[in-house]
Amino acid sequence: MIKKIVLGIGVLFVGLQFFRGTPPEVTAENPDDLLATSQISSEVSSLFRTACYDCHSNETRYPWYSYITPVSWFVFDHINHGREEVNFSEWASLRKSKKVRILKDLTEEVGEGKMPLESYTIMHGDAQLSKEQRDLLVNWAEGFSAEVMKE
Amino acid sequence: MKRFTLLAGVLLLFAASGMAQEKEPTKILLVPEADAGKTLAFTLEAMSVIEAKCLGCHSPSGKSDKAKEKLQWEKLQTLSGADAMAMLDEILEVLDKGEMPPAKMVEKYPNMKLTEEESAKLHKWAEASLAKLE
Repeated sequence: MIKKIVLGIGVLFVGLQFFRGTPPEVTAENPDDLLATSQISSEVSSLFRTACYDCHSNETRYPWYSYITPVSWFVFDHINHGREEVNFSEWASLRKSKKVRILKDLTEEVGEGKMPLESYTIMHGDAQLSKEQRDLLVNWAEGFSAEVMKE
Repeated sequence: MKRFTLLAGVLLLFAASGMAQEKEPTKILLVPEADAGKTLAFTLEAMSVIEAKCLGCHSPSGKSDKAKEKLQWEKLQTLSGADAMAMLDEILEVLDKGEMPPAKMVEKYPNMKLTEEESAKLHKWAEASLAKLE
């Protein structure tokens, strides 16, 4: 009986792999990207890449387990939602008010420790930001917002 | 019997006064365009929509804390620079996506739904306000 249950679960798991879903596209060339179009220090750029870009850019790095159903459903949906909210790869094409709003949200979300999401940092330890790193990003965003306002 | 009639009369009067209070329009402190100084001003057509469809929740006396925390129209007009710009951007997005009033609210009170004309009035006001800031 136990053998049959285990076998059933195994067959179901294999069967599910045919319904993985489509991963959001990754593009290497992003001419409108924030980091490509703005003068940003390497320290801040590095924080963006490790803590933000997997969900908020077209340069997502998919870990191996993200291709396994049902994890894939969660990850793909999460990335689609993240890009819909903010996609730093489209930065230069955004309206000024949208840029200002993104920077304002960044200072709040990162400053209050709501971003990166805990569900992400559990699997990506390097994306867990220290107090100093949060302060660095928040200060940068405030200064950059003032620059955008002058555009 | 007299007592009963008297009691019924008092109750009726009480209920009527309650209804009258409910129907009284919300007192708004929005600054119309003509009176505005440096604050974010409202056109009269935008004000009429905001008063009818938004202030029930997005004002200091609103019932929902979440709605109050997100936006209070009276406070919006005191914002300036980046804060005002960011809020206007969000208002435009919410209007474009038809996210307000919330679906649950519209389901319960269908007449609260923003008509296309009302949405267009708010959109026009928000775009014009943004243009001044940008």
